[in-house]
Amino acid sequence: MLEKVIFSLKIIAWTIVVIFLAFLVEWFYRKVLAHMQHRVGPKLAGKLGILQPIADFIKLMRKRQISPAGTDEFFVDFTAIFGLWLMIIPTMFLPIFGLEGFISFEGDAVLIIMLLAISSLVYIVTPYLFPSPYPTIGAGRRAELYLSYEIPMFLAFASAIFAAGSLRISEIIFAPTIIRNDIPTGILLVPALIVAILSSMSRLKKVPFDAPVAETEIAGGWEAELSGRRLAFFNLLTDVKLFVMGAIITTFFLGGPLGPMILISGLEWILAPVWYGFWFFLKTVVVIFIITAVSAATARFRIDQVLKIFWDRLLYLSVFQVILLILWWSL
Amino acid sequence: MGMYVPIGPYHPALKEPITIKIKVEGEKIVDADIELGYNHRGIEKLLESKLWISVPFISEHICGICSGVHQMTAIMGIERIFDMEDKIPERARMLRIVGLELERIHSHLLWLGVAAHESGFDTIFMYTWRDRESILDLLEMQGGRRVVYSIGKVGGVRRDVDDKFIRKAKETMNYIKKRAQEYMKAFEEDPTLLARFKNVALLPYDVAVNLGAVGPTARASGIDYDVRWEDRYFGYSEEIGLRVAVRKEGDALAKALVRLDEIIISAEIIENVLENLPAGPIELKFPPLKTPAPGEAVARSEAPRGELIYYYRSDGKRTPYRVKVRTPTMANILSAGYMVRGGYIADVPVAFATIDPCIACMERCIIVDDGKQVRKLDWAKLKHYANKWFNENWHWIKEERIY
Repeated sequence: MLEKVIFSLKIIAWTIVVIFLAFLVEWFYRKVLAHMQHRVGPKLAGKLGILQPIADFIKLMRKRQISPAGTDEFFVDFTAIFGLWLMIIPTMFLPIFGLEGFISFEGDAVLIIMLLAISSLVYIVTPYLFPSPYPTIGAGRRAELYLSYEIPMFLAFASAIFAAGSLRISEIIFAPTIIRNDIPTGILLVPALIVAILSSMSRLKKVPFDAPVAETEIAGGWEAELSGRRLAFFNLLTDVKLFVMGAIITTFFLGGPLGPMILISGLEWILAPVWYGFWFFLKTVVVIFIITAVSAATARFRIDQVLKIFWDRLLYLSVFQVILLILWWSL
Repeated sequence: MGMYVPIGPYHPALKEPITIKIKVEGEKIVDADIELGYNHRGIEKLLESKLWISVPFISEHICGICSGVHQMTAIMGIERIFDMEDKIPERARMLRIVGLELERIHSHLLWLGVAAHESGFDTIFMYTWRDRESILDLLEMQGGRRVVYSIGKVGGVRRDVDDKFIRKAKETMNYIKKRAQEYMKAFEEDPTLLARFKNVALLPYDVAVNLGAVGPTARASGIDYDVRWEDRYFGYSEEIGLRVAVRKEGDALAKALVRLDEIIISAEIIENVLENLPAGPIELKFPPLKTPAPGEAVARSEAPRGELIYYYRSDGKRTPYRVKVRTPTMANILSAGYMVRGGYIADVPVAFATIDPCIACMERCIIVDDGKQVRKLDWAKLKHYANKWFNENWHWIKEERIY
């Protein structure tokens, strides 16, 4: 009984931690983007504006909610909360403060990929609940984008799984460190890493792949009719997603929490999780930094150009990655 | 089949009220229609009630970006009405050129930022607008204000420039030329920008001629026409470094590159003019209550967006009898309608932005098209229509508590 209570409390505490991490990640993204664009960025709320995302969230929660007549109100609220939960659950499998997450079993890598795939549907279903032209166009674009990035992304993750030879995340994190024929697999996985970062950018709808949002074309696309609490929740969902995508790429391609550690005997029980967490967050921040840098230095592609990039370039790259891995390992 | 998507009158891509009604099938645009008439301001009527000397100071409020060229063209027309065009001191003419070219640079930098923003490249937007600030500082030094700077006045210019201004202007021009070359490199080489600008919003030479395009929009389609070059007003000439930037491609990229070329040319003009600034008086005295002989005058100049025309009619009184302004956006709006058609939804903001639209400058009259006939409403009819509408509808307005 007590074990179950402790486990539940752990889950609740972790959810709150993830939400605050997501706010932190949003602040990092905004601040870095601002400095790349020669701006100051968030500044007033808290030290260096670190509380700005929380302030924005509270402000939106208190705002009036407006939606066009004929909206399916219940389902929009439902998708907002459902989508958030779909994104928080994968974080429980991630090995952040140790070599295993809260929950770990054989096949959890597949579960994470599946949860990511389902969570994309939230963005396709929600806009159709509004009787308005902009969300409809945005949803159509989102569906086309979904069709284009899902297969390359799955192949990229699959190549990490092949390299590890296991479906368990706590074993996949060791995949880049395996040395075969004198070359660490981490270097062989670079094409898959590129595919994964670009696909996760289109999943996150960052420039150059933000055609479904495209503020200057279709006035915000799928989120054009969101307001008040719904917009707050969808913004939070986007932040959590940014953190989750960075964390998943870290886990699959960059060795997760692994890294050089300095331990003092007798204090391992506290120092080891701190070091694991340090390396994991450092790598996640690097991935998010790359995403920010790419989106600061590009213009938005048209949706037909996005399809061309994914089907013409990245799909071949990911197939090439799988073949390369198989050939190298059979040498 | 197909769905109507309204872009405007309130839309993030548009900074001013206008409606582009597009009919789409999927992402393809099959038809487009531009609706105007949201922003009638009655500024021509206001101009008719002002003394000749104060007309330029009202007319510069027509545009918030190219206020200087509106003022200078208004002055040019008034000086023609009073037949004093040839007597303007040389130093005043050159200082007017400095103001106009500074304005051209900041307007084009603003456009570059907006065009990049429409294509999702916010970094260039932030960079160009920061560079634009240095030009606005110079205009503030020259005219005293940042946006509506009132550099000129009838008979000359309002303020002289000092050595500090000349030194700072030369530094800034060096910087701006360097930055313009960097932006040109970005537009020519960046793959994402090329994907959004190359072969988008095509305006072929003969279409541009038929639709009467002006300014950089026309010059990007290969039309070698610049009012500065044709009219040589205020002393524009080859000696001060004037060239006409022309590109042949006619797409959005060419329109961006033409404007970047013009930034560099304008910077060179300013450097040359400030290098050889003639000494002498900066104004010709002009009594405020002076009355002209009855007659009319047309003044035209090259605004950053294209050809700007002022028409005056005088009946010998202290105020103009009639003032008519034709802004470049009015001439280019047909080209915008042409460029929007046949593309994708994603290209509409870029295509529409390529003419550098300035809607509030353009709106002069209301054209009513009720399906049967097209008719224009002038001031009196508009007033009559408004009163009639209010008399018929005031009771339900009162009930709904709209006002």
